[in-house]
Amino acid sequence: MKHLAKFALVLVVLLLTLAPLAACKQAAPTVQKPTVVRIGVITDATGPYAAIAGPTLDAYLDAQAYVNDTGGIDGVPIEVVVRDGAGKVDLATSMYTELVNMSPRPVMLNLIVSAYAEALHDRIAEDEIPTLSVTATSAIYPRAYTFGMYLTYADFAGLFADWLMKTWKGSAPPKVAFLTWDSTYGRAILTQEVRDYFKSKGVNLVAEEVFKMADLDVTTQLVRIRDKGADWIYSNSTATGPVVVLKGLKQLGYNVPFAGAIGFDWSCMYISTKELVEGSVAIFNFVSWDETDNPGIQKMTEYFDKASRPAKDRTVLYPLGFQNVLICKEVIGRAVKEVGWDKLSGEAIKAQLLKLKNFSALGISTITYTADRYSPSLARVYQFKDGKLLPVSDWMEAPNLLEAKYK
Amino acid sequence: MSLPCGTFNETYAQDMAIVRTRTQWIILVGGLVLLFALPTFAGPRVITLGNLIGISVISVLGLNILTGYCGQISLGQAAFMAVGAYTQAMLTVHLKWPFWAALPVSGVVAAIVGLVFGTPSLRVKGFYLAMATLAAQFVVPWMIVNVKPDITGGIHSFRVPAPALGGGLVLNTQTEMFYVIIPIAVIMTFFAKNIVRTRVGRAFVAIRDNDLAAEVMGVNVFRYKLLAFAICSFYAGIAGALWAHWMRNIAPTHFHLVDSIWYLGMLIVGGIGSTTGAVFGAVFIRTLDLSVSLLSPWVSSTFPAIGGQASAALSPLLFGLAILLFILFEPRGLYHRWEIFKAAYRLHPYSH
Amino acid sequence: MVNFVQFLTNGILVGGVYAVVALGIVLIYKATRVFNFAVGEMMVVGGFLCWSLLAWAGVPVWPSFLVALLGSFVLGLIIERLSLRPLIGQPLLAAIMATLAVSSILRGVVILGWSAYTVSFPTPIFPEAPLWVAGVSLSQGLLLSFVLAMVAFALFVFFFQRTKTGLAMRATAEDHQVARATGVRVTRVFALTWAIAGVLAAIGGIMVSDRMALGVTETAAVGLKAFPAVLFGGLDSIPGAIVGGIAVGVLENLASGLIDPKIGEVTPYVILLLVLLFKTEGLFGLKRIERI
Repeated sequence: MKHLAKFALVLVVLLLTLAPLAACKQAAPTVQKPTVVRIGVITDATGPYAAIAGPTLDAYLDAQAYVNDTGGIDGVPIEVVVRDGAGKVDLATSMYTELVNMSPRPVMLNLIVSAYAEALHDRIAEDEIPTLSVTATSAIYPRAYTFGMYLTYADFAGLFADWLMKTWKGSAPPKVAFLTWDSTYGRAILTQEVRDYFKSKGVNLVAEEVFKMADLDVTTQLVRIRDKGADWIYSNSTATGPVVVLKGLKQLGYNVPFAGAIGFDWSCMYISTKELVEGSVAIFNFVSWDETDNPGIQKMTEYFDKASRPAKDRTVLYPLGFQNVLICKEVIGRAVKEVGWDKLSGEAIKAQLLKLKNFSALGISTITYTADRYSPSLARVYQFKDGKLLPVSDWMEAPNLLEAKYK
Repeated sequence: MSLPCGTFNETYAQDMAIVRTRTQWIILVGGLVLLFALPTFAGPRVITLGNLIGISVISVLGLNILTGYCGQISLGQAAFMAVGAYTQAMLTVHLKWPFWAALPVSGVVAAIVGLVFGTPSLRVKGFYLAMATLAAQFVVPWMIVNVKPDITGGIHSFRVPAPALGGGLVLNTQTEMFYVIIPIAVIMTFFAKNIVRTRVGRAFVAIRDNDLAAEVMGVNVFRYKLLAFAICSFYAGIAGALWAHWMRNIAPTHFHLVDSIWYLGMLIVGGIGSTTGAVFGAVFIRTLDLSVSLLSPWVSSTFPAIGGQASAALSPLLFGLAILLFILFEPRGLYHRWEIFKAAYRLHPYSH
Repeated sequence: MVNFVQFLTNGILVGGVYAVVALGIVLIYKATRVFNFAVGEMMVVGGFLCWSLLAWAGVPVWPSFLVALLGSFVLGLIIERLSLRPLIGQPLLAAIMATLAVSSILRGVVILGWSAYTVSFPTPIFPEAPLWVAGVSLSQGLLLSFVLAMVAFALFVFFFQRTKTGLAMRATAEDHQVARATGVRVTRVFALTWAIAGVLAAIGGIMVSDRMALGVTETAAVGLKAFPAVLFGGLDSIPGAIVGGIAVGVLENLASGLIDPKIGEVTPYVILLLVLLFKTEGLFGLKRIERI
C-alpha cells in the first residue's frame, strides 16, 4: 500500500507540474511575407480507397506545376503538401495535426476521403482552415469550414428525379427502386427529404434495398425489386458496386435502365464488357474525359502527358484534384487582394469561398457556394453511348435536399 | 521473477513489491517524468502518436488479460471498443454527463456486452471461441447502425465533444488530451500489472495452462473465464471512450475486424502474457504504421521517377517485412528480448 | 415460390465461392494448426497472376487460369518456406502473426507489381450469359465456380483417402511427433499444404474478381466471408468447409430475400453463435477428448 501511495503521489506531482508547462507553449509566429503558399492534402495513396483517391495525387502535383508555371498566387509559388491516411482515421488525425502545426501552416486543406472529413470536421472548424472535401454526405454540415466539391448524394438523387420527370414518356408515374450500398456512402440517399422530394415530383419510389461492399451477388435484391415492377434502378455506390448490380441485371435478364451518381463513372472502368454499361446514366458535376473540346480537359491532358502519367489515372477524380488547386488559387488570390498577405486568415478565405458564384476553373465544373449551401448545385446527366460517357442534359440546378436537422 | 544479484527479500512486503530496487525506482520515476514532459519538447506528430499509443495500450492490456493470461483468444476487441465509444458519446452528448463520470460507465457497459459474447467460452475453446467473438465484430456494428439510429447516429458518424472537466475547462488539443489519456493509460497499466498477481490472476493462468486441471483444483472455470471477458471488455470500453474524445467523432467503421486482428497482433509482437509486452507491442506497431505511411509521399516527392504507385507499395511492404522479420527472429515477442537484455545487464560481467 | 428457389440457388452458388476459400483455410489449419489470415491477399495475387497473363501477354482464358493456379502453387511454397517453416516449434501465435505479416507483404507486392487500383479481366473468365432452369436464372460463372468447388472437394477426398501423400498429410494433422516418428517428412507435408491452399485461394480469387472486379481491397474483403464458413463446418473438417460455405451463402441470401437485405450479412453470425453453443466444434469438427 505504501508503494501505491508513493506511486500515486509521483503521478499527481508530475501532472500538476508538467501539464501547465506544456500548455504554455506558444504557437510559431505568423510569417509576414510568405515565400510559398502551402495547401495541405490528405488522401489515400494506400488503403481501401487508394483506387479512387490515388489519381488525385498526380492531379495535385500536375496542377501545382500548372499554377506555378502561370505565376502562382500574386507571384508567390504554391506548394501542395500531400499526406497519406492509408484509409485509417487515426493516421489521418496524425497527419492533420502535423499539417496544422507546420510552419508555414497550410492556408487551405483538401480531404479526398469522406471518413477523414467526417472525423476532422470539428477540428477544422476550430482551427479555421477552409477545407475542400470530396464528401457528398451531410458530413460537411453543420456549416463550418468544410466545403463539398460534389453535390450531396441526396441532391444528386433529387436531380435524377427532375431529369426523369422531364424525359419520362410513360403515362403512369415512373417507378424507381434504390439499390444502394449499406454504408455511409450508400445510405446518404435514404433520407426522408429524398423520399418527400420524389413524392412531390410524382416519382414513385417503390423499393429501398441495400447491399454490402463485399457482396458478390445482388440478384436476391434485384428479384425483390423486380417484384415491385421498377422502371429504373438508382444506385448510390462506387468501385465494384455498379459492376455487381449490372452483372446481376444481366443474369436475371431484367431489362431495366440503371442510373448512378458521381461514383458510377469511376467504376465503369472496371467493367470489361462495355455493352453492360451501354445506355446507363451517371449524374455528376464534372466534365467528362470524353469531352475533348473542353479547355479544362485540354489543359489537364497537356499536363497529364507532360508528367507521363499512367492512362489508368484518367478517372473523374483527376479533374477533381486539378480543379481543387485552381479553386484554392482563386480564393486565396482574392483574399490576398482584399486583406493583404499579412492579414490572410482562414476567415478571409472562407469569406471568398462564400462569394464564389458560378465560378468555373477552365470549365471543369461550376461552383456556387451560398450561406446555406456549402456544396455546389449544378450538375449534368451523362449517358454511356458507344462506350463513351457524354452529357445528355444541360447543367441543371439540383434541389436542396439537406436534412432538416442541418437547416 | 529472478532478482538482481545481491538483492535479497527480507520481508513479505519486499517479496511482493513490483518495484524492488533503487535502480528500478529511478527508472520508473525518470521514465514517468520523461513521459509526462514529452509535450514540452516533442512535436505535434509525436504527441498525436503518443495519444494513439496510449489508447491502444489500454486496449491491448485488456486483451492481454483475456488472451495472454486466461488463454481465451478474442477477435472482438474493436467491437467492445465501439461499445465503450458509443456509450461515452451517448452519455456526454444526449445526457450531458461530464467526461469523467461517463468514462467508468462506458467501461462497465462494454464489460457487460463482453460478458454476453463471452458466454460461449463455457463450452467453446481456442479458435472457435475466437469466432464467437468474431460474431461480436459483426453484431455490434449492425446494432449501432440499425437498432436505434436516431440515438446512435446510425450509419453516420457521431460527433463527440471535447472532454469537459467541469468549471469550463475543456481539453481539446492533442497536448491537452495527452494529459488525459496518458495518466489513465499509466493507471490502467498499474492495475493490469496487479490483477495478474492476485488470486484472480493465478486462476486465469491455471485456466490458460489447462482448464481441466484448473477445474479439478477447484477453480470455477466458467466464472473466471467470464471475469476475464469482463475485465478485457472493460479495458476496451475505456479505450473506446478515450478514442471517442480523441477523434471527436466515431463511426462504426472505426472499429473494424481488421483493427481487432491488429490489436491481437500488437499483443503477439509485444510478447503475449506480459504487461510490459502489451505496452511494447502497441508502441512498436503504431509507430511502425505511422512511419511507413509517412514514407510513401516522401519517396514519391523526392524520387519522382519511382512513381506514385510504386512508392505507395512501400508502406504495406515494409510494414509486413518488419513484422515478419521480427517474428522470425523473436517469436516470443519483444518482451522476451527485453528480459534477455535485463538479464545480461544484471549479470554483467558474467554470462550466467 | 420461384423467388424462394431463386434466393436459395443464389445462396448455394455464392456459397460455393466461400467454400473454396474456406477449404484452403481448413487445409492449413488441419495440418499446421495455423489460422491463415493471409487468405484474402493470396486470392488477390492469384487473380492478378491470371489478369497479367490475359492483359499483358494476351494468353487465352483457360491456359492463363491454369498458369495462375501453378503460380499460386509456387507462391504457397514460397510463403511456407520463408515465413512458416522457420517458426515450426515456436508458439502457434507467432505463426498466426506471420500470416498477418505475409498479408501485408503480399498487399505491397500487388501494388508494386500490378496496381493499387481496381482492374477487371479484359475478357470474362466465365461466360456471362445466364442459364435458365424452370424460371430460375443461374449465373454460368457462379455455377462453374460451384462445379469447380465440388470437383476440388472430390479430388481432396480421393487424395486424402487413397494416396500415400494424402495419408501422410492426415497423419501429420493428427499428431506431428507421431507422424515424424513413423517416417513422414512433416516439413514436406507443410509445404504441400500451403501450396494447395495457394491454388484454392487463387481459384477463389479469380472467381470473385470475375464476378466483381480485381482489387487489393475488394477481392480480399470477400476472403473475410470465409471465416464464418470455416467455423460453421468445423476448423478441421473438409466436408465441413463445403457445407459451411454453402450454409453462409444460403443464410445470407434467404435472410436478404425473404426478410430484408439489411440483415443479410449479420444473420450467418447470429446463427453461428447459436451453432457454437450447441456444437462446440462446429458441425463436423473433430471432437477431441482432453486429458490432464
